[in-house]
Amino acid sequence: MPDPTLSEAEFTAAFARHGRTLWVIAAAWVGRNDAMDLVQECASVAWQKRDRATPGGDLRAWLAQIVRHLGANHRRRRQPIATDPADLAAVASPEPTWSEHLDVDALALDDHLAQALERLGDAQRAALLLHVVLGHSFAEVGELLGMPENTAASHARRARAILREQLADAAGRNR
Amino acid sequence: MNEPDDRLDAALRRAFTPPPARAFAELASRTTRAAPSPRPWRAWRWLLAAAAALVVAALWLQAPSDRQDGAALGRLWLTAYENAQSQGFTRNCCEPVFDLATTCRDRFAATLGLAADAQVELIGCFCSVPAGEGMVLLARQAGEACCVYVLRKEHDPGVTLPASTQLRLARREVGELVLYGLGAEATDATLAQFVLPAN
Repeated sequence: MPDPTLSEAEFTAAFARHGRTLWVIAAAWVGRNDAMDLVQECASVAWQKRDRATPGGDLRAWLAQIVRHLGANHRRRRQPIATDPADLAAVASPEPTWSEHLDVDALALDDHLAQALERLGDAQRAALLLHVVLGHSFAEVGELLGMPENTAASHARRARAILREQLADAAGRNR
Repeated sequence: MNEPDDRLDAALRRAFTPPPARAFAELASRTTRAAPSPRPWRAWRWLLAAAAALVVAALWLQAPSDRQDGAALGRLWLTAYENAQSQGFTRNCCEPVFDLATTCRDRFAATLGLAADAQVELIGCFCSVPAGEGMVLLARQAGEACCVYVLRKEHDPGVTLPASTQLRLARREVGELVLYGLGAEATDATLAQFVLPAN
């Protein structure tokens, strides 16, 4: 009976094939600067739990799900709920926001766009980036984000509309 | 798609261009090297556990057991009887002064005595051969000598004699103790004279 567990070669090939997609999802959740760390964490978790993966199955969706969960955990850790007066000081100077993880100048992404991206939900940001940056179809985006194709398309369209609106407002203020 | 959307998309592509694919292949390769496969151990650990269980079971079966086996104790008592018989059923006691009540209290934390009108002659204890957790007494009634084995109830494995012997074994419970009588004739009458002391 063949070994049903993912081999090292298959695992490495899967990351070579889907790593860029995983990185974009990670960037949507934790920002560009921390995206590689999140993918690394995803690799560790996936390797430990690889007996749950089905070789030849939809590894990309499985890996994407791990990245999303890890990203959501990171986001939760950055948003502590203050219940004790002693914790209020920590909340008063919170962890960097999503946009602060963008090296805006280096990326040639202007402040307005960075701020506009921050106004998007995680799923909206991920749907837009997967579609625009990597050219994934909405059906693929839906699989990667664990949602129906129509929902993925709606998220991307809504995200683009919000960005356009924000940038138009910013341009109007600058005139 | 219009021009503002094109500019927006171009900005997003510039900002979110992921590293090349080979970077992720290297990352995955590093991960697998750093955390070698746990699966072989997972597959083998059941076999190892099963092997360990077999070894423990084998050792347990081979090791001398603390538990007394009724047939084994019967063989031991038979040897003691034959030994006592060869010595003419003479007292061979490990205690310089033998007193039934005191000895039973000290050894079994239980009381035992002989009936006031007992017809049995208590010769004494017999310590020449091991007799398990019990105590061997020598007794004589109507000229017929026998061995009386005493042990606590919870240590009684249900003693049986080898089928080859002609000797007869009787059993009686007295309080917290169990008495077995072993002799050429039935020893029930002898055992019946062992009683709990009045006080």
